[in-house]
Amino acid sequence: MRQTWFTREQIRRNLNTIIPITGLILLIVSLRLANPFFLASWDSLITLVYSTSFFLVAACGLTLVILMGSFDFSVPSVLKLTAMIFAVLYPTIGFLSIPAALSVSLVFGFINGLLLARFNIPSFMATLATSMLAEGMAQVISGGYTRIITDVAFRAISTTMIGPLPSIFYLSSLIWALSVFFVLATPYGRKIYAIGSNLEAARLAGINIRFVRISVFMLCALLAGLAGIFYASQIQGAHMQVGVLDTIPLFASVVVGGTALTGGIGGVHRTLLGVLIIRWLDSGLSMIAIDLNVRMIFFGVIAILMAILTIDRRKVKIVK
Amino acid sequence: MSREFSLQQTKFVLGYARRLVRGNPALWAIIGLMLIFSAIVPDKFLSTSNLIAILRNFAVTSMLAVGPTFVILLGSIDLSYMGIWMFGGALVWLAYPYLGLFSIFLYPIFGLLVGLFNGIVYVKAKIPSFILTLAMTAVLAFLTTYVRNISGVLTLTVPAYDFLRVSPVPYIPSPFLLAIPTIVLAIFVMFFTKLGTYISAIGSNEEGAKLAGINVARYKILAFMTSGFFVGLGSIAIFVHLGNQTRVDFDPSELIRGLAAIVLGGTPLAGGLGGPHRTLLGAMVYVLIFNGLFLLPGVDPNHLKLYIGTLLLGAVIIASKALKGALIA
Repeated sequence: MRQTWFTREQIRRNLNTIIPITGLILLIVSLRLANPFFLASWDSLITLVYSTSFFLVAACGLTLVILMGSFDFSVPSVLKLTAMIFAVLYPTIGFLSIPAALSVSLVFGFINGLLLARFNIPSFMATLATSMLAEGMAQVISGGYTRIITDVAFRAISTTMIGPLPSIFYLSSLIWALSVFFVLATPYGRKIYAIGSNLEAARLAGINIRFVRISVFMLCALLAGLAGIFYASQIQGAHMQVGVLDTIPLFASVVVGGTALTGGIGGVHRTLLGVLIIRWLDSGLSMIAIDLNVRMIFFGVIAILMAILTIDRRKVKIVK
Repeated sequence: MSREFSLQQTKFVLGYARRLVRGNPALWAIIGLMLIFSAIVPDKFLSTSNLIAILRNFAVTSMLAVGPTFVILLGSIDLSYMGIWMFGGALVWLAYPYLGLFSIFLYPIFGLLVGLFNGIVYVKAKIPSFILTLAMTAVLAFLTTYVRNISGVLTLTVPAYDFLRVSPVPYIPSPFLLAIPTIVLAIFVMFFTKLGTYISAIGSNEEGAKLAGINVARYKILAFMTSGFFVGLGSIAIFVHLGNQTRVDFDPSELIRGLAAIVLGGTPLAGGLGGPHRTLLGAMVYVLIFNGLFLLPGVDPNHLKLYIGTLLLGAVIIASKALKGALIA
């Protein structure tokens, strides 16, 4: 007997996939109808690529952490801090500032992971504290001033045109593809899923959960740092408002993609759709002059609705 | 006989003192901080204006933190206090032309409703409370900014409440006086009602509380409602402190203030221990540290966030001792 794909049971089971895809299609169609200039020319596509790419890199990192059932508030702050370190150190030590910035972000990831895995502090609380540290460091390093770098080489990282698209597109796609491969096709990736599905069972199965948790937080911070460097290069510098409004959209893009907050469900491959939906919605709504605050309210509501939809309620007995 | 009695008495006093030290490290932190700052910068720290400022800041910090303590007692977390404080003020401003001076009562009512909503969604949809309430705060805070933007005014000020800013007691600022009812009520709920006991019971062992016959879902919702109500009631003091207006720009780092007070006070994030009385001590510690710190010579206010982050980090590491054993996500 031929298998039918569109039974009610199948649709219900694949809701996590169906909603983002139909959402994206509906979104593009309706934004196009509302504003004929949306995606009307190649230039407008490039603008969207710029607004999506760095965000995708940061969202990939956050997805890894959420897959593990934890949460990382510090992604936007680490993004800001690395962008700031990159921009502040660039005039003196040139491109050596990239490894410097990335190592700072790695240290932050390590602290986050250590606080969770060693000191047993709930990750949202630990990362809230470290995000304050990152914000404070960014403030101290920059003195609160905006840094503008006019150097062409600084800007070239993100904006060199390779063929029809800027280099940041290829870089972020590469990072996305690598992390998809990493999560879906390596033993390490399967361990992330195992920890997200059942921490205790993963520990009993012989997974070194302390190592995996710390390293995933470090990966997340590294990706946030890379996103910060791409963003700094894209906007020619850094300022204290970088990432301030990104907490809710980042979280929204991960859950809209279909990754459940309880961990173990979803994946980095899904986050691409989520990021496209959230960022294009953001651009499209701002093009039809919707207030920034209204957009943020919108993202908050979407995030909660999707979080409710994606969570697997059979698995969790007690939710804190 | 009398010697034995005195020995027993001494033992009792010593035991009580030990319990006081162990149970409330925040109390000793307060005394220590006061001694340190009055020793280093006595003229600045002990001046009348500074002591009044400490009382004002204490009122603001404790009013943000007392309500959410009830939810932290459950082992969950409630970050919606900032949203309630901000949008509640916008509601008061919006309703003033219709309700007059009664519109201030919208604060606790609104807090209660937000708490009810949070509680129902949390219990029924089973999504982690921190993310639900964070989104709630963000939604309400951006809504406040939006209300400000479309109404075409700079601040959402209600000048008619100016009489509240004048304190009837000399040297005691009115926000502190306005905070007292909330403090008393919170301690009453904690120690003298079934609600406080049940919330603690659920926090220390949810499965056990269920087996003991407590309607866990109902008391979880009630805990969120209590939290929202106390935040709403306490926000009146903050509203008055800010000059009868509410905050209109959302700064996520303000969220730290309430959480830091709770954690510093010694209510562990795992729940089951502590309560609003400890949060009051924690709020005082927080206020004293930041008040005294910036009186010291050579402390740069630019480094504020760095200090807050370090403080919170230290506090959660110390508080995490209570979480040993269980694996935390």
